[in-house]
Amino acid sequence: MGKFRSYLFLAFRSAWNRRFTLFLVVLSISLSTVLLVGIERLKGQARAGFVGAISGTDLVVGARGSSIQLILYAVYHLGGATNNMSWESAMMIKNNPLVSWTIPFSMGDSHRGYPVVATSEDFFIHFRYRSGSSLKLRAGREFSDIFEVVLGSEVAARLKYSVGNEIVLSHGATGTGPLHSDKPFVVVGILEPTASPIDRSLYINLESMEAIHVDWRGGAPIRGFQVSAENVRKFDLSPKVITAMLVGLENRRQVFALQREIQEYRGEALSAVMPGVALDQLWGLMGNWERVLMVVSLLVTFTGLAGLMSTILAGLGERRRELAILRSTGASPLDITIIMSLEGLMLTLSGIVLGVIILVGLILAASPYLLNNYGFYLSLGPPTKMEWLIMGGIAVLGLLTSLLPAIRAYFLSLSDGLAPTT
Amino acid sequence: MVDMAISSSADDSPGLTAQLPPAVSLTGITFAWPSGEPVLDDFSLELKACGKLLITGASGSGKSTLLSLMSGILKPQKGTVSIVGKEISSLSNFKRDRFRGDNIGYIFQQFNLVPYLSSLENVLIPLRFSSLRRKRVLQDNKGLSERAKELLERLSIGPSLWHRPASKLSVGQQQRVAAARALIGRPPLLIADEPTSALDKEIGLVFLRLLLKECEEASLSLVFVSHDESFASEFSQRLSLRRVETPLDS
Ligand SMILES: Nc1ncnc2c1ncn2[C@@H]1O[C@H](COP(=O)(O)OP(=O)(O)O)[C@@H](O)[C@H]1O
Ligand SMILES: [Mg+2]
Repeated sequence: MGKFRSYLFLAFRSAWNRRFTLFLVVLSISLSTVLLVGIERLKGQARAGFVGAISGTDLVVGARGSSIQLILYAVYHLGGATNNMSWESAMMIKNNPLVSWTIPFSMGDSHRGYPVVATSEDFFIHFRYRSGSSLKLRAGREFSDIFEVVLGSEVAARLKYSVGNEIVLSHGATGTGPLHSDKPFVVVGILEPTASPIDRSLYINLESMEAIHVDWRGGAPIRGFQVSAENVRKFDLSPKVITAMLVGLENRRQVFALQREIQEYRGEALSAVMPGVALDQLWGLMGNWERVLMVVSLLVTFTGLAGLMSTILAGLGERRRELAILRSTGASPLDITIIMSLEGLMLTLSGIVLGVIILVGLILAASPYLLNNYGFYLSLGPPTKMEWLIMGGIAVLGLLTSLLPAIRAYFLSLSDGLAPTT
Repeated sequence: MVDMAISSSADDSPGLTAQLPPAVSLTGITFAWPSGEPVLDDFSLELKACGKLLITGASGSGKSTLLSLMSGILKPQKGTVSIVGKEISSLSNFKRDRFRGDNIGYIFQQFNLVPYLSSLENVLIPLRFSSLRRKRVLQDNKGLSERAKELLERLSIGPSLWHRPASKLSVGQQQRVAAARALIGRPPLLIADEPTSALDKEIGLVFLRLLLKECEEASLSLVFVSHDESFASEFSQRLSLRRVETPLDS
């Protein structure tokens, strides 16, 4: 019968006795938790996800235009298509002595809503995501010929494809365009999950991209001109243009030098974007929304805490007799104060726990949607330091808020003495 | 201001109890409410260890006020209050609270119990706040809830009622549970403020006898307030408070 356990016992039993009234308080605190922690998680993971998806890349090069648009389209397959850059420029950059490796990307087609990315074998060799992980195949092998496709893990899982299946690509990014049904692809490999946009993409080589478009012009098949899948090999399938190129440097410190060199290239108007800088710009744009959300959730939190205080205060009237009874059995006014603040703390903590449970449910429910529409993984996993801090902050505020009714109870029980008011 | 009549029965034998300090010793107590209403004026009273005091008097005559002074809830404007040899009128609020928790068991007219706790849990509450009372139970080589059950049983609260919420007990049962709670951990002084007023006369007498028997058994002193003068024969010492008309009244 330790003192603290007795406090807990009495506070808990009293609160449990009034659980139906108090549930609303717990619910509003859980709502605050969901908002504050949820926003923090969304923010943190969106950022980590975006940055992680391109962690090994020093520059993204494409036709001149908005750097944010280039990054979003080339790396995350979001937003509108950018202009193409020529293969000659790409080769020029690849052969620059400062450059260690390049990965060309050519985009525009899709398969059942998932983007198709044409690239080279260098993609499998040089691409790094998160802290330096390289791509691994879960099944099959890399593409080595035209009409071979390697699937991102989610594409394979969602569409229930396995190695050996034949699939048909459709023209355009929306998945509603005309089909390239005369030139089916065979699945030769499936990638391991990466928790990045790669999982939602299909990879073919650059020659395949040329091959399915030899008999197309300007987004539509050329009338009266059709090349079969067998005959297409007789054409020159070497790439002419690409959408963008990821560049890795020999020495990261020379990134500014190379960037300037590419921007000033006279053969073609190019952009060379440092991913981190572009993402910072992007975050700058989203910062206002973030602030609005924060203010709203803080308001919700204060409303919740005000509810906590007023509910405990309102209950105090009914509890005067109960408190007097405790006094007559040996509780001091200080004991009463501690029991009352513990009640507030318990309510707040239950609210936080309930909030976390709701949040876990929400994340589980929302992460497929976020992944499909915004291309980032909202994952579970232990709270970050900042999230702990937020939850601790709510708990401390809850405790402080319940101190007022507790202090009032102190003075009430001083003046009531042992006489239970009837 | 009150007029008092203190009487003691003759068979008070000076035994072992004579060496113990008096259970209650009030000397020269003057008390008036902040509203100015005087209740006691130069009032003295002594109840020896293991004594049984009955306080009677009309409603408003100051019985509850006197009990509050004895238990240290109220402080007299003048005079000293000693309980089992300890002068509590000079203690700090905090120490007085502690002292009361350790040494005084309290029973009220009604609403004694925390309604949502079981009888057993109610009886155990004093042990949560007073380590001294806890120690006294353990000194008797008893488990805490073992002792609580024993007390309940002795006060005719059978096992079927132990886990029932207090709110689901009859008033008579509630008073007996309250008595068990006041008795647990052998506080040397028991104060009962009209504990039988809400009971039928028969049941009230049974309750009083049970309480007296337990006090005897555990060598506790009892201060018992009742407006029922017919209980007088059960007590060793009696005090009758009568409200004296003050100039304000006339
Ligand atoms: N908390 C209080 N504040 C002011 N006056 C009080 C208070 N409690 C009791 N009184 C007054 O003190 C007098 C004695 O009351 P009380 O001790 O309750 O009498 P009893 O218990 O004999 O009925 C009454 O006149 C009552 O009005
Ligand atoms: Mg009274």
